[in-house]
Amino acid sequence: MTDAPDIHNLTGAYALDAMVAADRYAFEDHVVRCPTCTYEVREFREVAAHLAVAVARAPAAAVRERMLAGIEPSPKCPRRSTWLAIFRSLVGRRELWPLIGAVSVMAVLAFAGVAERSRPQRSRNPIGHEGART
Amino acid sequence: MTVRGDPVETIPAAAQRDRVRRALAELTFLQRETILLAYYEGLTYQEVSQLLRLPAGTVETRMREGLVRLSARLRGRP
Repeated sequence: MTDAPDIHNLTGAYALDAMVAADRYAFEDHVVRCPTCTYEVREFREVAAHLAVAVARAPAAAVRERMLAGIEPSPKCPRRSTWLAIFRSLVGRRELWPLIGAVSVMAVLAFAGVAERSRPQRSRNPIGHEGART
Repeated sequence: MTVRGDPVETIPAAAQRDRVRRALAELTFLQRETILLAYYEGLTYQEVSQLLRLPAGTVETRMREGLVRLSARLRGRP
């Protein structure tokens, strides 16, 4: 494609770096011998520098679709996964294991204590029932 | 309420951005899209031609025309 009649048309694509390597090399061979293309490429590179300033544009449709596709599968209600994340982060930290163990033991003891204290009240009821039956 | 950023820097940058956007808005649809797809999305002109279902030669021409017009606008030529 070197020096095809329409090679001058490629100044824009070259200045925007929108070429595969083979095309770029072919165009670079041409541009060193073509003052018009050399001038245009320099001019277009300046434009490209201006475009960098306006970079914060709304994403193209394809990009937006990809972004939305990434968003949709995420859970609508994050509460359960948040608790799960907290649980995992606690379990994952080995230095917290003794603390978790101590808290668990205290919880079991506290539960046992409550159960123990409430037993006489509960055991009174069956007696009451038995008393009613006899 | 605090003012973020250096106003001396920010305002010319915003004005410059507006100028570039206005210049882009004056291009034809194909001139603008071919340039934006190449520049912002990093596509080659062949990829742009596949995406827009246009001959590669047309994409080359539209890119070049668009850049000629942008250059004229940004240099203050009509």
